[in-house]
Amino acid sequence: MSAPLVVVAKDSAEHKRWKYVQWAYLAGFLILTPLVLEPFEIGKMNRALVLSVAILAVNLVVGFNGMLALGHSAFMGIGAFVTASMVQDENWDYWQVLPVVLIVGFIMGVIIGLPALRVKGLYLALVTIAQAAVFPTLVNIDELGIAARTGGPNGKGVSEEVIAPGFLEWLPGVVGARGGSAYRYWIIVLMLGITLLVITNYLRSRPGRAVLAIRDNEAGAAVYGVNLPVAKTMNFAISASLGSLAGLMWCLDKGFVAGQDFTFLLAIDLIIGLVLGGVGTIQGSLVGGLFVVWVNDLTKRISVPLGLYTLNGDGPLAKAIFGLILILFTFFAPGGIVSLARLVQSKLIKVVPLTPSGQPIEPLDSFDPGMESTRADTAMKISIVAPVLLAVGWLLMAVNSLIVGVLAFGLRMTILLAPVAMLVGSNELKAHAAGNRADSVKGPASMARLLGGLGFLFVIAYAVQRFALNYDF
Amino acid sequence: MDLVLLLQRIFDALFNSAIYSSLALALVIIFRSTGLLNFAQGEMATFTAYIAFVLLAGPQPRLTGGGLAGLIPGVPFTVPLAIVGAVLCGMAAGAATERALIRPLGGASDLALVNITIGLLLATNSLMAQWWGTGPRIFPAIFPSGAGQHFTILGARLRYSTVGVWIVLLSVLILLILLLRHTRVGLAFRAVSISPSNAELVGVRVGSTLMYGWAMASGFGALAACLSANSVLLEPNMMLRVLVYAFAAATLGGLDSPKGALVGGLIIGLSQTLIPAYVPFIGFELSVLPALLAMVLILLVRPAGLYGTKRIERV
Repeated sequence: MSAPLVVVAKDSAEHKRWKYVQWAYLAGFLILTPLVLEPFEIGKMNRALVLSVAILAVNLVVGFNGMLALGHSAFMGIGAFVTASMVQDENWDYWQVLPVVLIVGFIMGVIIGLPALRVKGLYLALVTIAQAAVFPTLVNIDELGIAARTGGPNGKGVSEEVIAPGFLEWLPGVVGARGGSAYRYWIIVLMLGITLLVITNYLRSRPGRAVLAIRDNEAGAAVYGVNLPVAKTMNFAISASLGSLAGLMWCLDKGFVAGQDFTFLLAIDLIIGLVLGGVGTIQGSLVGGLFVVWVNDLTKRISVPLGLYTLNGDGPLAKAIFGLILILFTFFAPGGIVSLARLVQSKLIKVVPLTPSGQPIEPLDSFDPGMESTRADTAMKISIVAPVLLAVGWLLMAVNSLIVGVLAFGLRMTILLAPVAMLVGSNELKAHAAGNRADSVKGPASMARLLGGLGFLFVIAYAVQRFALNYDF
Repeated sequence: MDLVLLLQRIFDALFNSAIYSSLALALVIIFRSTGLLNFAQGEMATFTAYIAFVLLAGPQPRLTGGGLAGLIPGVPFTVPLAIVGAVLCGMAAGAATERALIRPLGGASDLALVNITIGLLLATNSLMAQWWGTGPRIFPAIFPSGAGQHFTILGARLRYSTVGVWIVLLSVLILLILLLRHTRVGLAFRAVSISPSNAELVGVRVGSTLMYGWAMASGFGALAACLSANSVLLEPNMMLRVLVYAFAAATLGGLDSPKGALVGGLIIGLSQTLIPAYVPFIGFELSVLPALLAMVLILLVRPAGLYGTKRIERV
């Protein structure tokens, strides 16, 4: 399976169709999450999305500017405590606190960034670690009324619920049994969406490109007129501001903040998410947040008897697994999950860019394998593998509910691959009708189209069934 | 100001200073040779302290359920012998880490190396908690540290254990200096830390030299952990706090200067005890703050630390 299965010209009708499929998946994921999941699962998703924002903040400095800043848990803490104090003590609304938190985070970023960025490389890592290490104790200072504001060692509960714009009530899941968490879910998704939009555009803007240039070659960037201290400090401050936003979202989500939540371990969690997702990619931050929470959750269910001794996942084991993951990813997938996903994607689909005159830079025919095409065979294999995984997963789940992961994996594979198999199968049948394929293609191609179509129907049916089972109308 | 009290506080601070200095020395040795910060240094050291504990006390029942520790046969060891054993184990572990995890990465980015050592930190920490439980253990004292066992100088008490720790630290340091100045391995090590590529050209085996460096550093870390385990109680997170101070000490002194590590450890140890005592604003809870502030301030004035060599980048 060396050549990609599907080759499309950029912006052609078929490329657009693939894009629609991607958007449909994203929309399906976003909408089904609050509808189908249990409230506590939605809560986990919320936590993951909040972590994603924080990881994006770390990414802005580490991934896009090439600086080793490891202390963003402190910025999160600042954001969370400012929010908690303003909402609980001063009766502000979350939306009124939002600009305050962003500005406070920005100022803290400048204050810490100005001196911190004078030092380089690992020295910066040390300074920022110091910042993360000292933050949980700063919260407990009695002077200046700090402890009264932050709740000191006991933490601070926030009883106020966020007041959202009215249209939110119309979003799926908000009215009903899972209302509370679904409500917060949509607010977090909204904030995350706006953040992504802003950060993507920031990285494409002049200051953003200056930041990337500094990462790639600092001296070169300076020669081209980038003001290094200003660009670095601004980027660090924006990142700190984003970290504080994550803190606000944390407070909004959990309704409780304590200094113990924002220790060095949280900073390490952010780094793990960053590496796991993919350093220097925006998608990586999103994936990283999801995976940190997911892996944490998965290890909690582990319980392996080893003779006299039972290995339980609810103790310190999760940290060991994270450590192992960190080491394995650094060795074998330094680009993180995003790079792995891109690898798989490059096997499935290739988008040929266009020349200025609107023609593909290489004629699409040159990718056509002609009479020796094995695409139909590959598509057939794909269309078989996914349901087989699903079936094996189902059988295994009957044996031991722990192995439910295989079922989930099979389901995800079916969701992702069934449409591919279906489309490739019908493409090959079309090529055969045009006299471009050997007759032997016909069997596997129709098989792929049939199984892929069935898999697709199954996925839709599954979604509908989960929806009907879990959603109280 | 009560002079006796001041002297007493300084004497008390000296013990911690020695521990910070030795862990900082471990960090400096690795930074000099490999150019990376070993975030797992503290955890590796704690692990060896546990090994010394097992050697001494035999298989102890885990505080929560039966653990793998029960599988290691206990041998009646005396305290110094157990510490020597633990230091040797630590050296082996350090060498193995370099060989298995650091060398294959070659000249990877700073972030990759930081990730590896953070991964090692997490893994070691939780494995210790898994095997030996998170409850604190009482590590036997190496030096007499009973109620009356101290020198009295100008009315202030200088404990035997403080003196002992400093004697051990200084004698090991002298050994290290002799090793670096007067042996072939030391020469190779100095050559590699100045310029790995040039050292390789004149026939120094860079890889194995770095491995010796890691072994040496881990030995220092192990010594620090074993010496402090009695006063802070042995538990998996024992060195995590110490590591932050050691980082501060190493940074303050300059990451590539052993002398800096010693001085940095002293400054951090003293400021940690003296500043909360004389500045009412800062309680003992916040004793980490002045140390870290001192580090940041010194970095502002001298970005390479007190004794560190300034890095000059060629484009």
